[in-house]
Amino acid sequence: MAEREDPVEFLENIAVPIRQIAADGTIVWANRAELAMLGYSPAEYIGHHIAEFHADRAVVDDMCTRMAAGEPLHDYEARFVAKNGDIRHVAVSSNAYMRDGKLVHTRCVSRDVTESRRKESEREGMVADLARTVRLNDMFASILGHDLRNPLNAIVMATQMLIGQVTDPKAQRAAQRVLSSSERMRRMIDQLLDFSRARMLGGLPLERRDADLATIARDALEEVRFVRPGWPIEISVDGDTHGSWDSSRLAQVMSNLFGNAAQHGTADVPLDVRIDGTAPDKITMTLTNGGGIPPEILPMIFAPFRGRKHKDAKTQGLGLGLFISEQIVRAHQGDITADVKDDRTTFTVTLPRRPVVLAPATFERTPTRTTESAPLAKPVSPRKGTDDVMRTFVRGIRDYAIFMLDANGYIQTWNVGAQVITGYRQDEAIGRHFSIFYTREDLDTGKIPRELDVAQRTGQYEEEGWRVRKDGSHYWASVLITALRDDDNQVVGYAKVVRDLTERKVIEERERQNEQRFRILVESVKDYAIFMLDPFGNVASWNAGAQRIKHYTADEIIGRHFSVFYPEEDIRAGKCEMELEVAARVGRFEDEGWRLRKDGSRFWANVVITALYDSNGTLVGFGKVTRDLTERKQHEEERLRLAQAQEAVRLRDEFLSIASHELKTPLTVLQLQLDTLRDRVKQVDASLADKIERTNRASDRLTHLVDTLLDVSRIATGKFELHREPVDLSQVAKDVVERMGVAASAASCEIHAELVPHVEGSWDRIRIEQVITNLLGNAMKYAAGSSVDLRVYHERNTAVIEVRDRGPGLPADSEAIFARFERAASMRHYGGLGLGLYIVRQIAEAHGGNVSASNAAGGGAQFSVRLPCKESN
Amino acid sequence: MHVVLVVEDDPDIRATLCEALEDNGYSAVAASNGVEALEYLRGGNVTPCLILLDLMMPVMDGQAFRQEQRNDATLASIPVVVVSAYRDLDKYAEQLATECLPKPVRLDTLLQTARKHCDSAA
Repeated sequence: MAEREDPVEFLENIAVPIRQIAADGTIVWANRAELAMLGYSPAEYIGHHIAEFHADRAVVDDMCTRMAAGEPLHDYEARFVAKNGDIRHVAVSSNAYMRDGKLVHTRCVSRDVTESRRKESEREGMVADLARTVRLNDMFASILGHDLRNPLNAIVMATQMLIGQVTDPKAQRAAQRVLSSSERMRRMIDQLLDFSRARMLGGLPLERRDADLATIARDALEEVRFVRPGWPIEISVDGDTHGSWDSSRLAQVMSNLFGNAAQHGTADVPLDVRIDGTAPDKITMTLTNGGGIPPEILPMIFAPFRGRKHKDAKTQGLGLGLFISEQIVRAHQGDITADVKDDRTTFTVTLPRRPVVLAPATFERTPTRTTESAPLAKPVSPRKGTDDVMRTFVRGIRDYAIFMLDANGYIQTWNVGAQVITGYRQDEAIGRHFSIFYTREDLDTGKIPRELDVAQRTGQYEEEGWRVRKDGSHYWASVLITALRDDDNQVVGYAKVVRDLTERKVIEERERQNEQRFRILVESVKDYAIFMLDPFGNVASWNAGAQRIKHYTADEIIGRHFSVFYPEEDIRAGKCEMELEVAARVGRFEDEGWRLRKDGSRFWANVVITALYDSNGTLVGFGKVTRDLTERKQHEEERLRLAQAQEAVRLRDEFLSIASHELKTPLTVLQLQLDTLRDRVKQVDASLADKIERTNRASDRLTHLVDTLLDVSRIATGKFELHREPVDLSQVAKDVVERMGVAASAASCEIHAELVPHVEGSWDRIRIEQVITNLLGNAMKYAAGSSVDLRVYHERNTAVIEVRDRGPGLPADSEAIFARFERAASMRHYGGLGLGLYIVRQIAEAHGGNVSASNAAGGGAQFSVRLPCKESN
Repeated sequence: MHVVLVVEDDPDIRATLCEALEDNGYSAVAASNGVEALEYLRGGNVTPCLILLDLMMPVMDGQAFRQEQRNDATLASIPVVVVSAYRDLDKYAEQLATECLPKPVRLDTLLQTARKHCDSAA
C-alpha cells in the first residue's frame, strides 16, 4: 500500500522545507526544498550551525534555548539569509526527537513567508492610497456636481433674462457668447462627472427602457447637419433596431461618434452610417468617414485624455468623448472598435438587445480522454503470503539452512546453506547442541525449551529473531522448527529450516524508523494537509494539517473518496477522475482551486497530487499535499482591487490637472464677455449693470473653485512644490488683511491684527498668503458680525499664526474637526470646514509645520498654525 | 492704427479677445498657432504693438513661437504678453521674458495691458 512508498525519498523531495537540528544547533539534515529556499548546496548547509544562516543573533539564541528544552515551535518567525544575500522571512514549526529523555535532534518544518510579508507591507501602503482615493473622489465629485454647476446655472439664468432686456447689438452678442461658453463649460463638467463615475466610482449607471437605435442615430445626425452643413450623410437601416437600452446614454455615444466624424471627416467622402438589426440578439452599427486616424493614435483612440498625449492631435475640450462612449457601450455589455482602411475610419458598435445574464464561471480544464479506455490503475496484488518453504527448499538450497536435530536438540545433519548462514562447517556443527546459535539473553530466558515445547505440542514452531553466527555476529533469522514423530507419535527429532533475513531486516528496520520519523513529521505538519489516496482515490492516511485545513478527523475521512473535498460542479465536470488520471499518466498533477471543508465552506487550495509506484512499477496510490491559500487568494484579490484604485488615483490626478486647466477656457470667454456686457449696459441701465456685476461674482467663484480643484490635485499628486524665499510673515499678514478689507466689512467682521514685526523665515509667500486668507475667510464665514483676532508672533524658532473668532466655536471633540478636514461631508460647507482648512493643513505640513484648532477661552474657535522658521532637512 | 496680434488656438477665446479689443478701439489680428503668427509677422503686414500669446497650442506652441520671435531681430522688439491657464505662469513668464495674464482674464486687466503697450507707443 501507500505506506510502502520510500519515506526517505518522500521527505527528500516533498515541497516542504524540512531540516533536523542537533542539540548544539548544528544542522544534521535538510531536504531539497529547504536547500532550494535558501540556495545552498548540501555541503554548504548540512553540518553548519544555524547561526550562520540567521539574520538575527538573538533569534538564534532564543530558538536554540527553546529547542534544547524540547519546546515545540509553531510558526516561529525568523529571518534567514539566503546564499545570494536575500533575507527570507520564514515561519518555523518544530518538535523535538527525544531518546532516553535526551534531545537527539529537533525536526523543523519551514514555511517561506517572505512573499506574504512583502505583500503585507505593500498592502498597508495601498490601503492608505485607497483611503485617499475615496476621500478625494468624493471631494472631487462634490466640487463638480454642486460647486461648479451652481454658479454656472446662476450665470446662465441671469444672462437669459438680460438678453430680453438689452437692445445694444454688441451687448446681445456678448450675452450670446456668455451662454455658449456656459454651455461649453456645462458639457465639460458633465463629461468630467461621467469620467469620474466610469473610472472612479465603478461604472456608469444605466436606465434601460425600450429604445430604437435608428431613431437615436437619426436625431444625432441632425446635429452633424447643423455643425457641418452640406456634408453628405448616408444612412441605411436594416431589420429591427429596437432593444432595451439607456437611450440618453446611447444618444451621447452617437453624438460623440458623429461629432468626432464631423470634426475629422474629409469633405470628399460622405458620412456613412449603417445599422444592421437583422440578428435576433444584437444590433450592429458601423460609421465610416474619410480620413484615417493616424496609426500612432489608433491604439489609444478610446483612452482618456487622448488628445493630451499626442501633441499634434489636440482635440478641443478634454478628449474624453470616445472614452465615455466606450464606457457606455461596455456598460450595455456591447463592444466598440475603431479601424482604419484605405484612409477611411470606421467605428463599429455592437449592442446586445437585452442585458446578457452571464453564465456562472465554469471549471476550465484540459480536455480529458474518457476514462473507460484508460483504467486508472490495477488493484494492488495482495502481498505475497508466507513463502512456500517446500518449493523454495528445492530451488535455492544455498539460501536456507536445513538441518535435523535429535529429540534433545543436538545437530544431526548439515547443509551448504547452514554453513553459509551460520559460519560453522559441517564437522564443527554436527553433534553440537543447537543452542550455539542463540544469543545469551535468549538462552537465559529459556527460549530453547519453549520453542521445542511449542513444536512438540503444535507440530511446528515459527519465528523471526536474532541469532548468533560462529564469529559472534548477529543475523536476523526466519526459523521454522518442525517436530518429527515416529509411528508411535513420539517425537524423535526436529527439522529446522533457517533463513538469513538480516538484509531485509536492516532495510525494514530503517524503514520502520524512517516511517516513524516520517509519520511523526507528517502528522505534526499543520500548515499542509499531507495524506495518501489509494489508487481509487480513497483516503488512506491523514495528518494534523489535513485535519486543520479540512476539519475532518482521521476516523471520519479514512476510507472515503477524496471527491468529498471538491465542489459539486467540479465533481460533475469529472475533475477528480481527471486529476488522478493526469497524475497517474505524468506522475504529478498540480492545481489551484476551490475546495470544500467538512462544513461545506470553501477554501482556495494549492493541490499537488503525486503518483506513488512500488518497485515493480505498479501504481499503489497517490500522495496529496494541499495548502490553504485562501488568505493569499484574498490578498491577491485585495491587491487587484487596490491596484485598480491606484490606477484610479493616477487617472484622477491627471484628470484634475487637465480638467482645471481646460475649464479655464470657457471661463475666460465667460468673464470677458460678462465684463463687456456690463460695460455696454452700464451706459444705459445702471440697475441692469448691477445684476451683471452679481453674475460676475458667480464667475469669480467659478474661477476660485477651478483653482481649488488644481490645488487638490497638486496635493494629491505630491506636486505641491514650495517656492521658498525669505518672507516676513507680519508683512504678508498685513497685506492679506488689507486685501480682505472689503470682504470683512461685507461680513461685518472687524479684524484686529496684532502683528509682531519681523517674524521672518523661509517660506512660500503665495502659500502663506493662502493660509492666512483661508483662516480669515473661515472665521468670517462662521463668526459673521463679530470681531476676528489675527496674531502673528515668534515662539523660539517657530512662527505662529493665530486666528480667533467669536462664533459658535468647535464641537466638543476638536480632534474630530481635524478628521473632518478630509471628509467628503465637509465639502457641503465649502469654504467652511472644507477644502479651505484642508489646504491650510497641507500647506502647513509641507512647510514642516502643523495646524491645530481649539475653543478659545471666552467662546469662539481658535486656529493656530506653527511654521518652523528654517527649512529642516 | 494700433494692431494687437492674438495668438490663441481656442476659437471662442480668440474671437472674444478680438471683439473685446475691437470694441475698445484697437484693431485685432488673429492667429491660431505660432506658425500662423510668424506668417503674419513676416508677411509684410502692419507690425503689431502687442502680441497676446497662448502657451498650449498645436503645431507650434507659445514657447516655441516666443523663441523664434526673440531670435528674429526684426520681431524681437514687439512686446509679448502671455495669456494662459497654466498655474505656474510666473515661472513661464520669467523664462520667456514676458509679462503674463492668467486665464480667465478680466476685461479691465486686458485693456490696461493693451493701453500700456499700444497707447504709449503711439
